[in-house]
Amino acid sequence: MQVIGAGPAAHHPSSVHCYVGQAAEDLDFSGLDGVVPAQVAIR
Amino acid sequence: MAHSHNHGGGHSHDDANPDDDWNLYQHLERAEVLNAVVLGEGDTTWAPNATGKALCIMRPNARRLQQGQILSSDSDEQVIVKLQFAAPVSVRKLMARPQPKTRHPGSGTVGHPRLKARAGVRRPPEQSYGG
Repeated sequence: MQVIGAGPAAHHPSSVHCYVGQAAEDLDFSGLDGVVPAQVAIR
Repeated sequence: MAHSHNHGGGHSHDDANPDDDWNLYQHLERAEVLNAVVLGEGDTTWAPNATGKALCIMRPNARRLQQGQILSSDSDEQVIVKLQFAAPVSVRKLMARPQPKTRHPGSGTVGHPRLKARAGVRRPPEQSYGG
């Protein structure tokens, strides 16, 4: 997966974490620490 | 030819391949978002069979500059977008396009220079793994 942005670079997301499968289905802010993303893109 | 996009996603949006009627958006079943609100005007949807307020940001790459509704974090700089597809799909690219002049409703700041995004893609039932 490729994460791309548009507009000024300073306004791009600093990171994008992608989760798939069951990890994605159950994802919420309270349980992020123990979930491993399938891919991570950092600006 | 210009045409409305509130009539279904099962047709080509590629001018070079008009007969290609496979469209990612016809397989999108649900597009949810956590920690965000929808801002702006517009009701164009590329996935008429899907539900969820994150639908407003789902648009083909060729329409990425088109004005429309956006998602804005309603508390901190992170949002979670959860996509559920009804059939196996291959998502190869994601573009998160900011709107720098958008006013953040929670803090009064403009733009999201430190935005962190988390995208969840749920496998369709036939591809899920049971315990």
